[in-house]
Amino acid sequence: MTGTGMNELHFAYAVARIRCNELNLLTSADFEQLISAPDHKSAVAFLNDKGWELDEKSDSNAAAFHRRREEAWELIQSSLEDVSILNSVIVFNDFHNLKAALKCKFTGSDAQNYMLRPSVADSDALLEAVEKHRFEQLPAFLQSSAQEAYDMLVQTGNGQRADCLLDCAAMQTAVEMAKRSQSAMLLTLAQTVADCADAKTAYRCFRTGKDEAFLEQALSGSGKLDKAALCAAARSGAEELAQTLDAAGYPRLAKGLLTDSVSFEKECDDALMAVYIQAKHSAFGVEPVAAYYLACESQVKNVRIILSGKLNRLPQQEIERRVRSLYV
Amino acid sequence: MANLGTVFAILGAALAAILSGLGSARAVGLVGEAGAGVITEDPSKFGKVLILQILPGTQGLYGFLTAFLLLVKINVLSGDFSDLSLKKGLALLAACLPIAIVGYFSAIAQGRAAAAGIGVVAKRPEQSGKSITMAAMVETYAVLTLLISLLSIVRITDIAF
Repeated sequence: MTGTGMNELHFAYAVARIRCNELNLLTSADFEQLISAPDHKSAVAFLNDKGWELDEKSDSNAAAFHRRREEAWELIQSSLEDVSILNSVIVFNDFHNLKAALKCKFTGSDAQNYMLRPSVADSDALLEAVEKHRFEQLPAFLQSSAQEAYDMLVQTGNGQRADCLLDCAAMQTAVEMAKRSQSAMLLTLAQTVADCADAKTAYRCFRTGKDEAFLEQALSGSGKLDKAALCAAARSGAEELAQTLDAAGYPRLAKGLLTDSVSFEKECDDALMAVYIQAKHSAFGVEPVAAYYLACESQVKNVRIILSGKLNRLPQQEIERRVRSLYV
Repeated sequence: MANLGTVFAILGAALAAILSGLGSARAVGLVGEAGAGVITEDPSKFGKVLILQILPGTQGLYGFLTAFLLLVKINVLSGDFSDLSLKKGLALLAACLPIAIVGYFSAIAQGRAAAAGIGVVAKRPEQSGKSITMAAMVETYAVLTLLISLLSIVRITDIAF
């Protein structure tokens, strides 16, 4: 659906609607004002003036943030004839939902509260399939992963390994879906997500001294990073890990890793932004639509970081250090 | 064989009208689709959107004008046309090709430029004049080929061969 042909005509309507709605995203000036707000209450009041409908007494405002994401997705749904082209962007929520459903099945708690939307598979149907152990009712891309994770939980009771299994499956599925979308940007994005996830996992494994066998299971290797090289680097040290990332074309990730975990996490998110910000000036194609959704997610993350910083009375410079790059 | 010259001349008129019209229809449709996206969110921008949508429609008019002039010149419309020689018919067909071919491609190119301009109207409506100017630049090449086609038709029909 990309390229320069007239096929992209299908997205002209969606892109135009998205461009109008981009005006509602918070600008860098808005974020500067938000960061310089004297306290949490003032920051919430500023956001409410912009239509965010946050509760100043709530610490998390999770429901309000969730609503922002859902609104962005509803706009996309009403603009595109077929949203399945964006499956690679939202499929991570399906695997999150599957994790939550499986764990809640074993713990007996209500998984409904942990469901994320939007998702490719209907979350209620997913819950029902897991509850009744009818994995064949799940979409094909979830079936084998669900069975494997379930078996692992039954046999070993090891939730961490089941998480690793589902995380790796999520990365592989996203890359496959991105390939099917025939969008170069979506493919690069899925690969970058996988690389950043692998880099984070390798870094954490290094910090916690995990063995090679665990690394082998935890790294997906679905992106451009060489899994074997990353495994070896994670066993050697932070310098080696940084060198591997630098050699793979992620110099800023390498620099962030050597600074501290805050910088590293920020650089991982900024690496994704560097991919989808390219769609900011595209007049056609599905890329600006995907970029808008991701920009909304990034905006929510930034607002959460700032509000959390205000709540914990972090100095302004510390909050600024944590805020991710902006789309607008 | 006697009427083959006339057939080629009419083929030229048909190509000028069809290709230019086809290009304009696709381009106006593209800009219209993008424009509808903006109007959905902000109906007050209809005026600016409409100007951009009209721009790539001119190539269709140029093709129509060329075809009409040719049909008048060879007296097809009046019904009392005399047979044209094969050479003259081919020459008239060739005269129609500039606006037929350039009209088709320039309409689509202009449609893309105008649809991109719709994004400017959406985000920075105060700058929409610039996007209209940029889309209008493509028009130059359609106008040049229109002139070539019209001048050629006028001269060829006046020359005896």
